[in-house]
Parts: sequence; structure tokens; C-alpha cells
Amino acid sequence: MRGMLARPWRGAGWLVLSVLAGVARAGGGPREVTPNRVDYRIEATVDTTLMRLAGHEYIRFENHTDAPTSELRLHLYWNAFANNRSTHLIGSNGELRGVDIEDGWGWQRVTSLKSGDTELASTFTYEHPDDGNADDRTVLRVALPVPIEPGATAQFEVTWEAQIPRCRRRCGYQGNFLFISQWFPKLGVFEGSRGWNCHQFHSNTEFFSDYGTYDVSIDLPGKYRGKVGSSGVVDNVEPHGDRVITHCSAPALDDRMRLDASGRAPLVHDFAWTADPDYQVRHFPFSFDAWKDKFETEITTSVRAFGGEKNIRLRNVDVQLLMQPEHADQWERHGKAACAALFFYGLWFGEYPYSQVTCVDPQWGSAAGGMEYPTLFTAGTSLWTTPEMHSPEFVTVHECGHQFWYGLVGNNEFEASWLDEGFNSYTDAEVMSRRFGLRSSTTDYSHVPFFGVAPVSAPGGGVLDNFLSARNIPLPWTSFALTPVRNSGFVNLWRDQPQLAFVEEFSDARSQQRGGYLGDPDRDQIDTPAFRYVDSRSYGVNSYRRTAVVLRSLVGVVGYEPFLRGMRHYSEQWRFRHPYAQDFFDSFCEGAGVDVHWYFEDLFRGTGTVDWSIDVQQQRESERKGVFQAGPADEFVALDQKKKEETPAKSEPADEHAPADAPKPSAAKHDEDSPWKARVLVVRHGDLRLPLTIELRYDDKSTERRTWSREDQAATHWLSIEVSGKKKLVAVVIDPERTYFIDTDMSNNSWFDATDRVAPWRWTERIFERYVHVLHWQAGLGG
Amino acid sequence: MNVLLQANEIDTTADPALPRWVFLHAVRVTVGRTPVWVTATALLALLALAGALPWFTWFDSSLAHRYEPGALVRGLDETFRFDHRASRGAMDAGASSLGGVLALLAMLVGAFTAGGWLQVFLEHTEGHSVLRFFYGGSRYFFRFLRVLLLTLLMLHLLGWLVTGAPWKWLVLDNCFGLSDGDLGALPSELTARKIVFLQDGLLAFGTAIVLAWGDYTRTRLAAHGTQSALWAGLCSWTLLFAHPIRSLRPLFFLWLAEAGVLMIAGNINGRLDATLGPDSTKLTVFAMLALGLCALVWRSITRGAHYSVCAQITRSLVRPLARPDPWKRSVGGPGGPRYPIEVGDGDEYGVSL
Repeated sequence: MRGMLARPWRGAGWLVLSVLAGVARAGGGPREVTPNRVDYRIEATVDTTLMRLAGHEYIRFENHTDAPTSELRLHLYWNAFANNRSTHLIGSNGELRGVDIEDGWGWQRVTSLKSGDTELASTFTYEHPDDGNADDRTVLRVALPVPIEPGATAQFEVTWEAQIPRCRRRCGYQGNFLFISQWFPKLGVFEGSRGWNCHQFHSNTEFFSDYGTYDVSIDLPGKYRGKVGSSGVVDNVEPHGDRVITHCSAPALDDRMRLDASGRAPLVHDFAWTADPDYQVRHFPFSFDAWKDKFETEITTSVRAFGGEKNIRLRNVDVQLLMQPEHADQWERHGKAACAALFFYGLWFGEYPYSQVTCVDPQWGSAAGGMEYPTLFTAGTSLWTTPEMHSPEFVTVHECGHQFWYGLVGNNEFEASWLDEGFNSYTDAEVMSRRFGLRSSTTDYSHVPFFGVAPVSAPGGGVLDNFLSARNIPLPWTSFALTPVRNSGFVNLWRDQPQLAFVEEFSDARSQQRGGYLGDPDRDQIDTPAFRYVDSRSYGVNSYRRTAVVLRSLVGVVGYEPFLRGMRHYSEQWRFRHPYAQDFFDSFCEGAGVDVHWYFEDLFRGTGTVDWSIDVQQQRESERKGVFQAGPADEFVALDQKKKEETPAKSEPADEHAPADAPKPSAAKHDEDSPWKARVLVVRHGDLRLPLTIELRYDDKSTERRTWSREDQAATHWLSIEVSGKKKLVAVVIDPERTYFIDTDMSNNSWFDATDRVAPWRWTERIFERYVHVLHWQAGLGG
Repeated sequence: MNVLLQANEIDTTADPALPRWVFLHAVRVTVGRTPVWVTATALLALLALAGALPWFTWFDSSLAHRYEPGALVRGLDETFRFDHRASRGAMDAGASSLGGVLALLAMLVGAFTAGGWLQVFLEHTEGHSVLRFFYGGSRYFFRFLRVLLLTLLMLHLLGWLVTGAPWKWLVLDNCFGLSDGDLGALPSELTARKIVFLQDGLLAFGTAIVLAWGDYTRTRLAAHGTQSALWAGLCSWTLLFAHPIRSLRPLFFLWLAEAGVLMIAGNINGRLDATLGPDSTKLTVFAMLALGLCALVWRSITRGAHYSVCAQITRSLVRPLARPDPWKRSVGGPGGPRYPIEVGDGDEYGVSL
């Protein structure tokens, strides 16, 4: 048991530290929970001929809860890929990433589990706590002969064998490429009186486990020598015969001894590894000093937000890149994107405490891309991408960002997936807009991207259109159809003439998230277990985009610096722990110094929406007409007569040079001097109420701001603002800083006196060009 | 005599003497027919205008008083695109449906203009070009409609060969071992892209050949005055296979000339587009419109030049049809006027016995 004998004192030291840290933070804070600790030592041998894995692991479990347990529950994730009756495949309709699964199945089977010398295999049962599906074998229950008492430590020895699945859902093999995740029997999380939190593996869910350390030895064929990446670091490589054993540790042994900025020793809660003889291994260093000079404003804002007391300096990190040969020229782009994540996430939420992070470019067709594991993540790119397309930058930032949300703050991804996915989505959009700007849309022709998009679609799409444009001509009395006009890269390129007919289109990650959220804004509330959303679309919207939009709108409520303080406080308080929704709400309010529980209740635990609209009626005050009375006792006199009595006749000096029939100058100049009168009507549609700023802009360049408070919005659904004076209103804008991304329709948030005379012509011209070339091509079919 | 209705003699004599650069001669001849290509361009432009005009109203109403003037000239931002997704989607769906109708009309216009071009080139029209253009368009319309149907059939067959079962069996399964056609099982993305390139390239090449065949078929029908599109089509395939270089090379050069000018126009268009901003005026927009119309004009000219090329090549490679001697059966004494007896179309001099 290499290293294990020396570990108990480290474990005890960690325990003491965590207890002391817990005491230091006690006193009115969130529920004090010291998470359990689970250490693994794993030895695995892989037969790449049969794609079999034989494993042996030692699990050391420390029960830091207040309740004993008489059982263990372990995840056997690969059994989700054993057949099409598993909960996972039923949920995905038998498909994985769009492929109907016919072969390449995978499974895991625990053949022995010992506590000391006692074999417990006879007590094995499969559990189905979520859906009662007896065919699902992803949760294994083991009955213990002796309960594990609170504060006690237990050790187990597990032997298992597994069939590595074809890589279609993040893990498995594809040719020589191996991406091995969720591969060992992994303990669920014991939550004391709540029992074991060990869910089945659903198609929509990810993972949840306790923090600890991993020491892993992987025995592979010799061709994988030096081409293995893992969580943590590779310590050394030991050839033997025609095979090689790679020894890994997570966290790295040095990292375990180095307390992070918050005074904790780093731990991890999972271990994944990958191997491919074709990997090209590169290293890209992250240095805080190199980044801080580029983003001085961010540094200044963070220092100000955190009161100048926080140490915002971040440690250097080695970004290890495992690239496929055909993407090798993109290694620097991956490295820079990973560094962007390390810098911004670290600046805002606390430093990344490990010495290395590994970025994997997965094999083509492996479906292993876009996934996170502690200190290791998979990106994913393609040929012929450019930085303007934000690929692979976006996925790299997002997955590296998960090192913070999920890696360091270990939320339960089954029951509160939004705590990592949504937080990460919010943050990655902020990073992308600061570091990489807008994304340029492209249109693919035979997978070669061309910048620009068509302003309107080509003919076709409906049954009739397809028939008329010869795309699909059903033959009567048959099920056969002619398809003379097909989508094909080069033909479409000639048809479209993109250099003449297309338009540039740019996307902002933040606005894209709003669009994603509003695609399905109100079927489920955000705070829902991942497997309880109505469908996968609702899971995607609520876990990712809606949470990001709600967080972004929270900035508009509390202000940016309080927001940063709230998020930082939460991330530090719950580092290496397992928060739930209420923990976040309480911690954020504490850190931001403002009580916004109402916001969290309405936005995270409700399905309400809001749309503020604005309408303006403005005109000059009308000329006075009618009869007027000076005082109660006076007579009513017509305005002309009254003016004659009040005002000595003023006449323009006669222009002796003007012709006799020239029109006389108008005696009434008051129209041009009449004051402007405007009514601004702001209406709230929907249930949500947030304090709203309304900005009025005048023709003398002055501006005025009004606020419509939450309390006033509770009283009425509308606000009327009357303004009058010499100044003319030229614009009225709701939420001028554009922070309320939850507004379901921003098109009615502004009013401008002037209208755009150029834009309609411009866009009609583009659409005309589009039709011209498409129709010319179509005419060529006829002659 | 009504010029429009006059069935002038189509020049079917063989003309083995071709200019050195057939395609250049064709472009010169076509450019000289200004009223014709103006008409052909206008027909297409009107169709495109019918599709584009509703969008002007939509943009005008969507932008009015809601957006800062100039803010959306350069690009439609994400927020605008999303906020207007419903109405824009409805417009797009309607445009797609209208586009189907316009596409059908475009194909019919194509058949019509082909007839017009051929009438003008084969007849060597001098004056009244537009009237002869319309005469030819209507004269050959239904024949060319049959050619269109054959074209669509052949494109379907081509598509099936290159994307359907033959491709999957011959290329994907036999060459790459992909029995289920899943390109994801290939060892690298580059390999997958090459296969897609090959497939798309074959489809594009095949489409070009089919369209060239269509041009020669229409030319043969017009030149020989025959009715059978099927027979003319078979003969055209024979011509293409027998003389691939001579028949296709000028068309290839025409395509290059068209593509070259379009690339230059596209470059200018990009530069103009880049100048658009909040302070832009309609001048830039109209300049882009003018550029686009010039590109369409060039495309109309090259389309017409296709038929000039086909006419020249057909005359040089294809023997004229042997026509019955209209004077073989006639009445009249020797040395005096002779009158044919109701042969051919029956001209006004025919005598009925």
C-alpha cells in the first residue's frame, strides 16, 4: 500500500484543519458540515485486445457525519451502457449522442468486496432509488457487518472487472484512444441522517462523490508509454516487458502538502485518465504576472470589490495539452483559453490550488469532448477553425472553468446541477466577452467555414416549398420521391454566392444565454433535481442558461462589486465541500452584505417571467383655444381679445421692399416656443418585480434617471411619467446598463424620437441579393 | 409582317470554322445583344424583388422608434435577432414558401430565356432582338420544359449514385470498412473531411455536366426544330462523350470567367459592407445594390454566352438534319413558277390538290 501508511497522519491533519476552519467560520453562518473524506488506491490492468479492464482498489472512508451507517452504496456507472434497459439508455431513447446503440456495450462487475478479511459479496444488491427500474445496475448496495460510527474510519478492498464500452458518452475506447472515466466502483456520498446520496445514472445527470486523494497505477500496452494523462499528475512511468505501468496521484503529492490561499489542503473528488499513442504532449504555462498586466481594470475592480484585503495573487499552473496530431497546430489556442479561465475564475472565486491542469483533445468521433473531471478536462475542436469562431476557445474556457464550479465547490450534480453548470455558464460568458470578444458566425460548405450567414433561408423546408423548388418531389401512388436538388457543399456554395449575398453576424455569449433561456422560460424552476426536469431540454435550459441569466440579472439588483463579494464568499466558504441551494443563497447574502433572498425565491424557486415595455407620446403643448377667465369674478373672454387687452400691439415694421401681395409674417410665433409635453408609460408584464431604472434623454444632451421600485411595482403594473418643458425628449431607455437579461422582450425597452431610415434599405438590399443569386441558380436548371 | 410571329429561318448549316477562343466570341456576341440581356436580367430581378419587398415593410415596422438610428445598420445584434425571432421566423417561413413559388417561376423563366437566347443566336437576328427573344422563348417553351423534367431526373439519379446506396456500398463499406456509414468511426477527422470533399466534389462536377448536357440538348432541339427531348438528350450525351474537350472546354472557361468576376465583385462588396456603420447613408446601400445588379448582369451575359457557345459547337460538330425537299412534290410547268404541295409547315404558297 504505497504511500498509504504515511497517509493517516495527513488525513488526521486535514481533519484537524477542517475542524478548526469550521470553528473559525462558525457563528451565524451556513450549516456547518464537514464533509466525509474518501481516499482511493487503485491498480488497473487494461487488455486492449478484448477491451477489458481488471481493477483492484483500496477505499478508505472517514465518516464525518453525525450518524452511523450499516451499508455502503457504490456507483457502477458503466452498467448504464450494458443494455438498452438501463435507466440511462431508456432516458436517451436507446441513443447516445444521436447514435442508436447496437454494439460496443460496457459493464462493470464487482467480484469481491472485503472489509478486513470479511468477504461481503454475498450481501450485494442493486438499488434503484430514483425510478425503481430493476434492470438498472448502476447502484450497488453492500451490507456491512459492523456499522461505521460517526468519526470512525473504515477501509475496504474491492476487486472488479469491466468491459470498456465504445466511447459514445464521454468514456470508453475508439480505436487506440482510451478515455476512462467513472471507471471504478465509487462510493456515493453518505449524508448522515439523510442517508446515502447515491443516485442512478440518468441520461441527464452527472456525478457526485466525496473529496479525498487518489493514487492510481495503470498497466497498459507499451505503445501508450508517455502518452497517458490523468487527474492530478503522472508521477512516473515503469516499463515492464512489452507493457508499461503509469503511476498517477491526484492531487499531486506536492500539492497535498501545500495549503491553498484559504488555508486548506487540496483534495479531489474523482479520477479520470486517458491514453492514446498518437497524443502530442505539450505544455503551456500559466503565470499570473503575465495576465495581470493585460487586465489592469479587472485587477483594480477585484481589489476594490474584495476590500483590498484578499490576496488575489494566483499560483503558477502548468497546462498540459494532449493533442490529436491533426489538431496539433491549435495547441496554443487551447493553452491560452485554459489560462484565461485560470486567470478570471481565480481572480473572482479564488485560486486554482493544483500545480497542473490537463486539457485533452479527444479522438475524432469519440464523443468524449466537452467534459470536466478534477484537474483534467476534454475540449474538442475541428479542422479549419479560427479564433473568431471561438472554437475551441469556448469549450476550453467552459470545461476548465468547471475546475472551480464542481471541482473546488463540489455541488451534488444529481440534485443541484445548476450550482455548477449554471454558475460556470455565467462565468464562461463573462470570460469570453472580456478576453475574446464577439463570436463571428459562419456557414459551412463541406465543413469548410465561410464567415457570414444568409439573411434569409433558401427556398424549401415545407412540403409544398420542397416540391416547387424541386427539392423533394413525391411520386404519386408510391412512397418514392425524387430529390433532384440536394444540399451539397460545393453546389450550395455556387448557389449562395456568400461573398456577394451574405451578411456578417456576431454573437455575444451573454445574449446567447438569454436566448437559450427564453426558449423555454417557465416549465420548470431552476432548483430542481436534474432527473426531475420535464425533459432534457428543460434540464439544459434551467441548469445552464437560465441560471446564468438569473445570476447576470442579479448584478443589476445588487451591483457588480457586491455581486463579486457574494460569489467569492460562497466559493471560499464551500471549497472542498458539498453545498446545496440554500447554502448558496445564505452564503451569497452574507458575502454581498445585502439580503436578496426574495430574489432567490422568485428566480430560482419560481417560474415567473417579466417583460417591461415602454411607450412614449410626445407633442408640443397645444395652442390655447377657447374662452378664459382671469379670476372667479371676471368674465370669460376669448383668447384673442384677452391678448389684445393684455399685450400692446406689436407689429413687425413694414418691409417697404416687400411686394404688396407678399404673405404677412405670422403674428403667432408661440407654436415654436410652446413647451414639449410627453407621457412616458412603463408597463410590467409578468410576475417578477425588480427595481427598474428608466433613463430619459433630452435634445440638449442632458439625461435624467427615475427608479420604479419593487414596492411600487407591487401596487400597479404600470408607471406613468409626465414631463414637460422646453427640452424635447429624444430617447427613453429602460435598464440603460442592460443588466436585466431576464426581460423576455428587450425590443420594447427603448423609445427613440428619430427612426432609422437606412437600416430597412440595407437589410432589404441584402435579402434582394440573396434571392437574386438563389433564383439565378434555380433558373439555370430550367435553362 | 408581324416580326414577333415570323418563323424566320434558323441557320442550321454546319459551320466548321470556329473562332480560336469560342467562349470569348460568345461573350462578345452576347454583350452585343444588350436589350436581350437587359430583359433576361430584369425578369430575374423582378422575381427577386417580389421576395425581398415584404422584408422592407417588416424591418421598417420592427425598427421604428425602438432602436437608436444607425445601431442596426452594420449588423443585427443577438438581442434583436432573439426578440424578433417569432415574427422573423414567421416571415422566414413565409419567405421560404414564397421562395418555393419563386424558385419554380425561376426555372420556368430559365426555360423561357433559353429559348429566347437560342432564337436570337441561331437566327442571327438583326434588329427586333427583344421581340425575337420573346418569340423564341414562347416557341420552345414546352420543349424546354420537357428538358427540365429530364434534367431533374438526371440530377436525382446523380444524387442517388453519389449519396445513396451505391456510394455507401462502394466507397464507405468497401474502401473504408464503414458498413453503417458512420464517419465517426474513421481514425481521423481529416479522413472524414476528405471523403465528404470527394462526395461533394463528385456531386458538383456531375451537376455541372448535367447542366451542360441540358444546354446542348436545348440547342439541338432549337437548331434542328425537333420535338423529342429524349432523343435530343441522347444525342447530346453522345456529343459530350464523343467530343468532351471541344464541347465542355468553352463552357468551363465561361464558368471561370463568371466566377472570377463574381469574386472580384464579392471583394468590393465586402469592402463596402465594412464601411457601414451608425453614420452611414443610403448611398453605400445603393452602391451595394448597383454592384449586385452588375453581378447579375454579368451572370445573365454568361448564361446567354452558354447558348452562343452551344450553338457554335453544335454547328461545327453536328450534321444538320436532312430535311425533306419542300419542292419535291410540286405543281407547275417547266420554266414557270412552281408551287409545293402542302409540305412542311404549309406556307402560304402551298397548293392543295
